[in-house]
Amino acid sequence: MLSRLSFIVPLALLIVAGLAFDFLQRRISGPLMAVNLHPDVVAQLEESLADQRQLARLDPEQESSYRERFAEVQTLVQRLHVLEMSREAIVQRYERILLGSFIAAAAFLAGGLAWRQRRQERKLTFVQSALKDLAGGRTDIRMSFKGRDTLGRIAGMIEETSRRMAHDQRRLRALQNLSSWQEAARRHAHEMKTPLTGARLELERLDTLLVGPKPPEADDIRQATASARDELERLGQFAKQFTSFARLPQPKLESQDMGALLGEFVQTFQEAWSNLTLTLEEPAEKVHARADRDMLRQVLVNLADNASLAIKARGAEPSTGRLTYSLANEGEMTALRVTDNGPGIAEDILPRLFEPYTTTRKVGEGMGLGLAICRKIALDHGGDLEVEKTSDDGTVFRLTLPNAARYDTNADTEDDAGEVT
Amino acid sequence: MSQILIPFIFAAAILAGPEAPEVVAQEGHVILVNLPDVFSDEDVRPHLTKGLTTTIAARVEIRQPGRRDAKTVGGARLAVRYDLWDEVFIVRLADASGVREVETLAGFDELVEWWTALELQVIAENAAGEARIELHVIPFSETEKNDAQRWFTRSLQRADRRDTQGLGDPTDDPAQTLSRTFHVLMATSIQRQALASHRFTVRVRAEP
Repeated sequence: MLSRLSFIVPLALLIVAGLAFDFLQRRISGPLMAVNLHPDVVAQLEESLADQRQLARLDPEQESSYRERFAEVQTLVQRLHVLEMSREAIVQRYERILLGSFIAAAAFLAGGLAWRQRRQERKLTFVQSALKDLAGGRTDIRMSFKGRDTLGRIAGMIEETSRRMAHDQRRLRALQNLSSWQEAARRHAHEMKTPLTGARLELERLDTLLVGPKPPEADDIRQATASARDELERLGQFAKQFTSFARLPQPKLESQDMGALLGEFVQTFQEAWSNLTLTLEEPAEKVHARADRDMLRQVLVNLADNASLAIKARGAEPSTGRLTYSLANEGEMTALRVTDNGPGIAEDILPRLFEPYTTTRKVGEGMGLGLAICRKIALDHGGDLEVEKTSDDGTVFRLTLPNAARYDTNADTEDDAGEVT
Repeated sequence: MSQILIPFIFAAAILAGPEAPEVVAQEGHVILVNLPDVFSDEDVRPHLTKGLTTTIAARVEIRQPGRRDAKTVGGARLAVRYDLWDEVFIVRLADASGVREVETLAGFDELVEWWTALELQVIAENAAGEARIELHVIPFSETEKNDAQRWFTRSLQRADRRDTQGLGDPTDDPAQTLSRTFHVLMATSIQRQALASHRFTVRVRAEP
């Protein structure tokens, strides 16, 4: 673009200079030639004056008309003399006008080019920023300019791409939602069907016992009713799990000594999963986070559950599973890393791992709500839960929570401020 | 030796120019006498018979000795026009005493004689000290200048009209507006520049 401009500028200057010269030249040369100041012209006119006088002497009766003619010619001669005496000043003025015009034209042109270049640069910056946004996944990009030039066309393309991305994302989301709902419906149906079928079979068995040829045994009746109650209990548990996801309470945040909390957790739950050994790596410094103790425990249990099931699914020997907790202060946040030695998470499931109803287990073995609930809890804390690393050797989950030290400092500052006021 | 000196003496005489007039304070006014012959100048003399009105503008500034801020300023103006029909010089004088009657002089020699013998009243009061005198020979009058400017503008406009004949209403055309501006700028370059100027500094002579 710049190389093209550097070629255009002198060319345009030449054209403007040529046009200006032509314009001024045509307007000065013609008139000046028309009042030609050649000495012969003046001499001829002066001769004409002498002729008029001579004629008046020869024909005194017509003197007045000759005098009239004489006066006309004399005026013309005088004007030519004035012009002749001013010739240098006229030429000088003409040259100044010409120079002024050139300078004005060049300044106008240079100003115009500078303005255009600045405008192009602004557009370029805008396009650059829009491309960055587009690369970052923004789908509501609107360009303030569009046009037929290269940048205008690029701007149009960016906007179009953004629009298409938005459309595709909406479509994908709708399909994903639909798919999730289908999966959820399937799981719900199965989760409800199994206990219902069980309960129905037990009731049928009870019915058979009651209308049979011989009176039923009390034990048989008790067994059938107990079994039906169990199945209904499972149905109730299922409904309860749903309710807990739908009505997840807001966390009650308090400063927690994470080292102490995890130490207690490891000690309490060491025997809870037969195929897992829980280990806490002692942190180098005290780590305090703002967290709801019970909800945090819920997250830890869920992660351990998942790890245990994953290790079990791999068919590993009991007691070979390991779950390690490590803590770190990371600026305004604290990070708790939960590392297992399971088989890792499949790539296709990773992008929607924290979405509800995402599970690798068979239907009837879980709703796929656990990690969704865990992430919701983390987000409600002002932190997050993510998969930091996953491979065949295991998975690292990173749970971030607000660092309590920051809040304590802020609280101190606010207290100080309160004292001053 | 004399052959070497002659050009120098000649050049010095040319550079020296005409002799300074005398400034005389008498009877409550200041006059210039022994006026220098400004008409014999090689640029002025041929110009005098062109029929234009040549003006001799005299300006006198008298500063009192020892007082820089105290000065008396005055002047006079002589308009000389050669009548090409009658071949006589017609002069009209305006000095500190007012406008004098028109004089008609038969030829160049009479003009010079009349001028050098003239007592030109420049200040209508008494003054003493050092007088600075400026004499400017202006080739044409204000009226002639204005007339030439108008004529020049008309010539430029006529040329323009020939160029743009049949191209619509010229008042709507920005190029025509630009042209008119250009015509004005060109025409106003015609100004009254002095053909010759002389400056003298003399002491005021007081006469009873």
